[in-house]
Amino acid sequence: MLFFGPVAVHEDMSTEPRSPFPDSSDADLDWDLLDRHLAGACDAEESARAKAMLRRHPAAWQVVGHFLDAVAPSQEAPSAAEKAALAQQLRSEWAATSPSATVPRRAPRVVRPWSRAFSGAFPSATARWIGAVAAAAVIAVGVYTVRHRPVTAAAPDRIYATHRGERVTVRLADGSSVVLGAQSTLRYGSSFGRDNRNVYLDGEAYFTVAHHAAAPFVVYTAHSATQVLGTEFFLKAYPADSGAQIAVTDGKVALRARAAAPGSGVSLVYGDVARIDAQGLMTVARGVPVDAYAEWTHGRLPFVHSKMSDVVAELERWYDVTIVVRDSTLAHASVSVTLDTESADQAMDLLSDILNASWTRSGHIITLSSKRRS
Amino acid sequence: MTSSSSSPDHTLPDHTLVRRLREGDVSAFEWVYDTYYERLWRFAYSFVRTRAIAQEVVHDIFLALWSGRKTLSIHTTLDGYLYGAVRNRALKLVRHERVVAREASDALVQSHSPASSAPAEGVQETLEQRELIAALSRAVAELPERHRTAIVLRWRHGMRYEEIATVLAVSPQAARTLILRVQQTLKTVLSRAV
Repeated sequence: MLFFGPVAVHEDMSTEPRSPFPDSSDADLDWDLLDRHLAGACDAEESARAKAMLRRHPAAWQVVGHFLDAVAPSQEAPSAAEKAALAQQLRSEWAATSPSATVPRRAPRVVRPWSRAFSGAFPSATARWIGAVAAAAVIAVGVYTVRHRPVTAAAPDRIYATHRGERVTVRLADGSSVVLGAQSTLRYGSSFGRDNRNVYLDGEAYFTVAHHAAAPFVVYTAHSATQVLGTEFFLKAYPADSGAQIAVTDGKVALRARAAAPGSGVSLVYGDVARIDAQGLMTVARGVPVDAYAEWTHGRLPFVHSKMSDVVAELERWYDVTIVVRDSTLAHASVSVTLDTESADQAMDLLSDILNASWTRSGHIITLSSKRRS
Repeated sequence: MTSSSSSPDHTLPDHTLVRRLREGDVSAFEWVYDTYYERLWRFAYSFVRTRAIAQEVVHDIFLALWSGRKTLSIHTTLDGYLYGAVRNRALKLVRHERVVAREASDALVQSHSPASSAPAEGVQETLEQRELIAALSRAVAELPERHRTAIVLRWRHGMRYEEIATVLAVSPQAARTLILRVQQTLKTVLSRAV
């Protein structure tokens, strides 16, 4: 441990080799050399020079030492027991879902009867939605060719934006309708319905698209483009999601990365749920009970093997609250439930019941924690 | 984890390792855990300042690495990816970044308060030295998170500027500038003391 003593030069006490380049003792501190020394980037010669320099500048060395201990305490290190405990925890995770593992899949952590639409619907049972989906999914790449019309810049856009806890239905000029979820933005150009049927979505919405064979309806999000003839589907792409999720409840759509060429993409039909990430990688689950997504338009919040973090984000938007999940087991739980609740408190009661957790509320902040095992 | 400290995997280029992670090769995960656990823990601790939360951050990172393995794409290096993930996760848990800076600064003052530190052998703590600690403490408290993180990565984790740049998602030049700013701060503290 460093301490502040008198500023004295200890050169004679050192057994370090003398620098081959003895600087005069009043030379300035070479910060560049100090920087490389601390970063372990010095060769032997530089290293010796750095040490000699620091002996001449004990005050500087002490300031740097105190500073480093304040910003990154070196005495705090994990114990071997902590390392082993976490390894144990992770290994069970790896064994449970590894494709090569012989260990049978674990039972779902959370699937309860009142997720009435889907209880028992999923054969696989990993903790995370995408893992479950990917295990059972067929990844299909099809080509769905529809004439594309370029996006035209034109007169002012129409913009609908919702706040937290708000949901609106937007009726479009072509007869389509959009139920726009909380904290979401729907934008389209003034030429919508004339030259094109292009809309832009940030957030989540349920689309009922009027059929017009000659005019494809295209929904753009930050990372995806979904091309439609006439159908119903649910699309979710909040900026924080770094991707998009789509569930088709009727008809057929073609989903592609936003940057991909029109006409390319994957065909999705009833029962398909697809996720596309910022890099354009797509995962498709077939045969998902998607009717739950239609329930969404009736004020229900459906979750199918959803990550707790997604559930929390959704509830925060829907009820305009902040939810703090207190421990990592809870935070990583997978939840299947349809929330048909009127208040955040009711929703939290239900969730706590499913998760064997308890919650407290202070103003807009809700804290969810595990019940202590007794 | 016991698997592979002797394995030649240490020399695997990242993309081979990433491919193995993507395929769900458990030994690749074991290797990453073995190699990175302590480093990431220490890095997390520098943000969260609580042992249990540092552990939780590392847990979350490895869990996310596993559950997202199928779509794992690392555009930089594994170092950059993992450290970047720890930083993001830790910053999410520490809702008020200023609190961290404050705690770091307080820790500095406390470890030098007369009650907690015996004076060095026969040496009276002088007024200037106390002022130096106070100045350093203020500097730590005022240091923006990016600067603090950059210097921790450089001086504690021995990273090159390019690596720091990938963790912070800035250019290598910007990473260098962050380091220089911190040095400037320390120089200022030091010049007041002399």
